[in-house]
Amino acid sequence: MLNEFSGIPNPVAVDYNANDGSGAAFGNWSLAGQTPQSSGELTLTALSFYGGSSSSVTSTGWSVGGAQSASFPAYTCWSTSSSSAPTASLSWSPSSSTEVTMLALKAGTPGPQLNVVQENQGTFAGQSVAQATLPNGVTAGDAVVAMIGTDANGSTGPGYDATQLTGGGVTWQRVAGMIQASNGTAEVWVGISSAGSSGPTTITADLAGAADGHIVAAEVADISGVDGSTVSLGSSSIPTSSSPTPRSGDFLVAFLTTNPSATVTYPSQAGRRSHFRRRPTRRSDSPTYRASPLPHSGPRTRLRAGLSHRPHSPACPP
Amino acid sequence: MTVTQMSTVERTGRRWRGCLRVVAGALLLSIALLAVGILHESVAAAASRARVPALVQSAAGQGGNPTLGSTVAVTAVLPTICNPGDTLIAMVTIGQQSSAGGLVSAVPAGWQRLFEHSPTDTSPYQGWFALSNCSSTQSVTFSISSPGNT
Repeated sequence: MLNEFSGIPNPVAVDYNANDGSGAAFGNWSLAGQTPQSSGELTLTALSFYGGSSSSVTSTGWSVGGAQSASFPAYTCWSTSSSSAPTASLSWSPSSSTEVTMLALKAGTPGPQLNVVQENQGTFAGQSVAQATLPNGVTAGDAVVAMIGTDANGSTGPGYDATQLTGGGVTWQRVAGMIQASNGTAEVWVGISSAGSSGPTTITADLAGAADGHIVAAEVADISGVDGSTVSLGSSSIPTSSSPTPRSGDFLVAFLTTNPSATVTYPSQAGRRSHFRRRPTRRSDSPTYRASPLPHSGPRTRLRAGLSHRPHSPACPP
Repeated sequence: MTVTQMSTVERTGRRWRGCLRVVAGALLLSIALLAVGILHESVAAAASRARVPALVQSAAGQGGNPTLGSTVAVTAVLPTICNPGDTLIAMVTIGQQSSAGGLVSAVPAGWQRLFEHSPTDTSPYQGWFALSNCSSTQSVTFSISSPGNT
């Protein structure tokens, strides 16, 4: 869905974002946003679900931005913010598993923007090497972030299953890692200031032994180092990672590994289920994961890391 | 004395005319200031109006490739070229296969990733992207890996 808007700040940044949804069949959903920093912000919401050719969507107080009513329907709606938190109440047919997101846009800060330039993922089963291939070369100076989840066993506590990472033109360093006995591992690695690479770029993680799992690799512009990280373990249907109290402007990485017996398998065919989020911070937020089917508690390992924004020198006058 | 009187009268008349000139000048200045004020207000109002987000046009595109690990390019083409200073906002959604979640692996140069969420079940992926000052742009293509439907 592609929309052209006038009256949007340049550069633009996310004031807040929210999401919700379910793998179970629903015909309506209500998603609340947050109180915007200022009124008049462009607020966007989107609905995706699976259905036949006949479908409809309603959302009182919102204007439709675009619609794709094919076999995989999707709708975008927009409004301008008031001083209070908005709510999008959507209904559609037929009932289906669904995803709803909302975000409000504010003026960004001049200069280079933190951004995921490219990313990709890979799965592995019974292998001692995990690989994900970025579709393009890595720009010199950019960072590369990797998140790895495996079903490797070990003693519960901080630790890593990957022994080393290569690729991307960077020297890799560990950010955060955790092992939950009998329930797998989760870890985040980063390489700062790539020397650059050309063409498809493979990131390879050497594992301590054969394992099932999932790797996500991303090239990110304007990261200069690691600010802090947190790890946690538990068993719940809605795991939440605690905040490492990042500095404003940090780039956040969060990662979750769960035992697949508790959930559907995604995206690994046989290994642990993994999930990640990242975004520049506005607040010290705590990413929340929702398990499916709901409610279902299961063992989970959560990681969260704040990566420092690279400082830029102000432009000198001519 | 007379001369003095006449002179006095003459001076009084000049004073009156001068006063009129002052009043007229003040009036003209007031009108001018009012006009400037109105002009200034019009500019401010126009600027204020310009800052209010408004939808200009929209488009959609779709594609698919059910092969695990495959990549598909999805393109959306606007009816007309984007206006200078406007912003393009793209929402990409991906149907999640049971064994392969999708993600937008690459975006065109200049595009900014705003927010993405890849659920851990079969509910769809959604990602938001922006291109500021989209002058001369009419279409965008996103590269999606491990897709189901888009």
